[in-house]
Amino acid sequence: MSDARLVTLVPDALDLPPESRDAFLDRACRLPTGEMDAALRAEAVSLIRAAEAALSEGDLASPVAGLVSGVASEEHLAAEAPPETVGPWRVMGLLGEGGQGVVYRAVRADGAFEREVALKLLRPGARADARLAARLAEERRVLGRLEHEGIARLYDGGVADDGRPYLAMELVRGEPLTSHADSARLGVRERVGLLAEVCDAVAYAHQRLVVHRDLKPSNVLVTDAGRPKLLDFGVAKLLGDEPDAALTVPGWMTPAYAAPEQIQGGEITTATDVYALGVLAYELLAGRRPYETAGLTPVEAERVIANTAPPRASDAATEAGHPERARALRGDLDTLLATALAKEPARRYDSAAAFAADLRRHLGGLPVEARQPTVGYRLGRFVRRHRVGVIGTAAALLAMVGIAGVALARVSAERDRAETEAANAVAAQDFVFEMLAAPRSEEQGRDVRVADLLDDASVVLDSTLGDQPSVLVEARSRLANTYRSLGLYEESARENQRCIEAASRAFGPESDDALTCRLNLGSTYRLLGDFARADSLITSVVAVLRARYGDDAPELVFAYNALSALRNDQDDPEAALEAAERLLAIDRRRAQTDPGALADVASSLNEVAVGLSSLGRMDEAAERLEEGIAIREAAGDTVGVSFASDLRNLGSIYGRMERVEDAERTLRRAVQIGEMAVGPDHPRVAGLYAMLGQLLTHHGDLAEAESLIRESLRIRETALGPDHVAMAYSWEFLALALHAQNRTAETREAAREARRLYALHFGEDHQWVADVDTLLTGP
Amino acid sequence: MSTVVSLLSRAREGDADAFSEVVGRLYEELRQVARSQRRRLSASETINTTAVVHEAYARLEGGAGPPVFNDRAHFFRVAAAAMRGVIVDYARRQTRAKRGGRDRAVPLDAIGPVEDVGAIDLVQALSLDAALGGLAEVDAETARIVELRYFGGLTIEETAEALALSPATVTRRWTFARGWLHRALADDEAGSA
Repeated sequence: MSDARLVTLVPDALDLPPESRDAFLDRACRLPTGEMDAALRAEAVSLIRAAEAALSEGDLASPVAGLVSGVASEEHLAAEAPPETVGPWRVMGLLGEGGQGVVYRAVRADGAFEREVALKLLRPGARADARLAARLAEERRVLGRLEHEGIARLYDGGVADDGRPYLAMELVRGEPLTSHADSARLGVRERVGLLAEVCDAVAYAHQRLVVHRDLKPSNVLVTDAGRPKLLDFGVAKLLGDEPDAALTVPGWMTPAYAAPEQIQGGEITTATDVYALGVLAYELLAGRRPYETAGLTPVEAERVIANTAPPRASDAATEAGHPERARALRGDLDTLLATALAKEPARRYDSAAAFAADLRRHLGGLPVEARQPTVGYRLGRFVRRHRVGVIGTAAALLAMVGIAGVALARVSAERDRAETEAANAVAAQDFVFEMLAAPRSEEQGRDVRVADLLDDASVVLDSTLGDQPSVLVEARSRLANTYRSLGLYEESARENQRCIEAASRAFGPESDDALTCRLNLGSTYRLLGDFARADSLITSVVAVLRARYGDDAPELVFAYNALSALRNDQDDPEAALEAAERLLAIDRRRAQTDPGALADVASSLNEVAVGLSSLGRMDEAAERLEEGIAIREAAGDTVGVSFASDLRNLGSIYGRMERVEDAERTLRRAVQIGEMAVGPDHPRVAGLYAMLGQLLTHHGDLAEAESLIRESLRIRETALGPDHVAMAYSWEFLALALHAQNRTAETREAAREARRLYALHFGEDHQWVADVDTLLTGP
Repeated sequence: MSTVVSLLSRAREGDADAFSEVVGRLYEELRQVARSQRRRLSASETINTTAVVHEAYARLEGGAGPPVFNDRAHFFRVAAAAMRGVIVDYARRQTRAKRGGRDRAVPLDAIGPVEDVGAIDLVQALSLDAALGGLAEVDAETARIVELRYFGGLTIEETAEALALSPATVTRRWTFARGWLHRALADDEAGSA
């Protein structure tokens, strides 16, 4: 009964004295015919009674007031009742609560990830706003690439339903560094060894432009195996960048471990972490901290840390009741610690790596370099001059640079030049690091594109490193690979070309360095779809290396890898498989003595599987991939691009074996991991979208299929251009998805594009052109 | 960042996420305003909710920039609708958390004073939200009055202004709504009992 007349009838009646209401209703509730509208009258009576009951209960208070109080105390509520789930994670229990927020034990709700993680639900900093999610995603990508056994991995991060950011991190069981050292009764040498390992982990992150900012004993756990592991890398930055946040947000930073520049609101740099490492080392070795700040106000603590020199560590040890340690500290270690703890960032160790090296020199009885200008840091002077400020975009970039240059290091590892190469790698990395980290003054405050930074680096390389050819080659190679990681293939090709020139000039055109650059150029051309050039470069390198080292030498892994990928793209599966099998054999042999090569075995299994599947040998292909995936899962390598790519291939093979459910499950997992690893706008993810879309076209939701495929088109067109061969796959998939929906005109439009590109890349008489033609001419 | 106005026009065109974003933004404003007021207060003082709501509305309306709504009535309607979203969302989460019934992880005295959150009748808020659709079928304007008064926290006068009605009309419709909702909620209880 919903008669609009009731809206006035009811309040009118209520305005009357109760005894007059019946007569009023009798008059008012009439049908158009004049008869009594009994239904309306009954409804009115019922509503009048209800309104009287409601009014007798008093005002209907708005919940807004309660909401505001509730919101104000929400953080407390969160601690009181853990959420059941946060993002894709199911909360299993509470681990602890700290200044940054609450930490829970959690597992993936969908079982896509077997291990338990430490799920940190952060208190939003003052900068929590609508852009938080985007900023967090950006940081997560950077931090997620920190893969080092001394650093707790970041698996995931995002914004929970209630707007609080969360991070899912490797769950580390261990004891804080200082208490472990005491309970295990470690001697000074063992403590120094542990510190060097901590420095290694920090140095690794610094090379990827991630500064910890909050190093302290509770963030360095020692595992049961006795290895140190750093927690919360870069997390402090997520909580806000305000320079004075140190003093206003309790728990964000621990003043006792904070560097003078950190307390005074100066620039946070890698030198800030070096300082904190110094405090950590001081406390671990001397048994007390360099400054006693307990009981001081923030302002007093600041004054002490900024203006007074700490006592010598050996004196502090004596005072703390460790005379035997004092003896061991006197001399070198005193100097080392004083260097790390210098007030001015420029007077400290240039890097955590330099600190580690000095600690090890001390252990090895070699002269330490503290106070002397250190070797290999001619480039480091740049860093000091500019004081490395970490730019988000640059950090994202450097994370990729880490992958680069591996080729050079690996090829040369078998020869005696390994040491020189490692030094070159450090110097080259410092250079790129410096270029990216130094903000360009004219553009300060603007979002400098990563590619622009790289372009700058490329321009000044010759003039800066002209006299150090090995460093120059290494740096060019890194730049080239970085461009490639960013999907900037043209630039990568240009840089590889310059790399070849530099290497040929310095070491000869047939030198290993020149060959590696040629190989990289070939692979870049392959990605650009220029198979003719790729072929000539890659096959010539393979031929030279085979003649030089033999058919199955470890030096050939990269060459076979490139060759196999090329043959696949050229649609020559027999040749692709042959190269992949050679690669696999080499890697299996290497893995017998070097467990670190297992990841390479997984990669080559993938290559072999791709070849097998192209030949229709699906069962074998699936077996290889399942083996590779098992290897990666056993190693915990389940968040990277390689894992996503294995899953993609396995999903595709399942699809072709008509194991539809397995295929969909596997591809969705691949998409998820791919998005996490490289971000949703990367061409690699486009491939995953296209593939999942193709599967759904045949076996699932056509609307989702179409939207996935269109997304792949958009990403590919932006990243690769409209004529790239990958665009053909997306167009063809789109045509099929549209065809399945009987949208004939659109189907033909998409199919025409696919046909044009297939003909362009493979020739008019290729089978794929004919395949697409059936869509153009069919009903 | 999209403006509230552009979000709303997208919402009208059927973009469901756009309105949720307005709701999300209002919620975020409320949190920030409430938290900053909470920080300024001593433990024994209670929060001035009216001031918080008005400041949050003002921030949603345009923050430091020029006002984005050219008429106040329009803004009140939007704010109340968004506030309804916030309240329902909040009430759902709170009732879920209560159902979860986990042990307290941290003793309350360790984390400072807690506001009395019993002030919000979660069940009532959720029931009213659900019943409002039925009321709108009888009379859409009356349903809007409930949204403005109950969910938006507006006074009779503000509600009248927002809907271009006389305060007397708003009062009469409000009375009708009280009766209608009271019966709907009672039926609901009887139905589920």
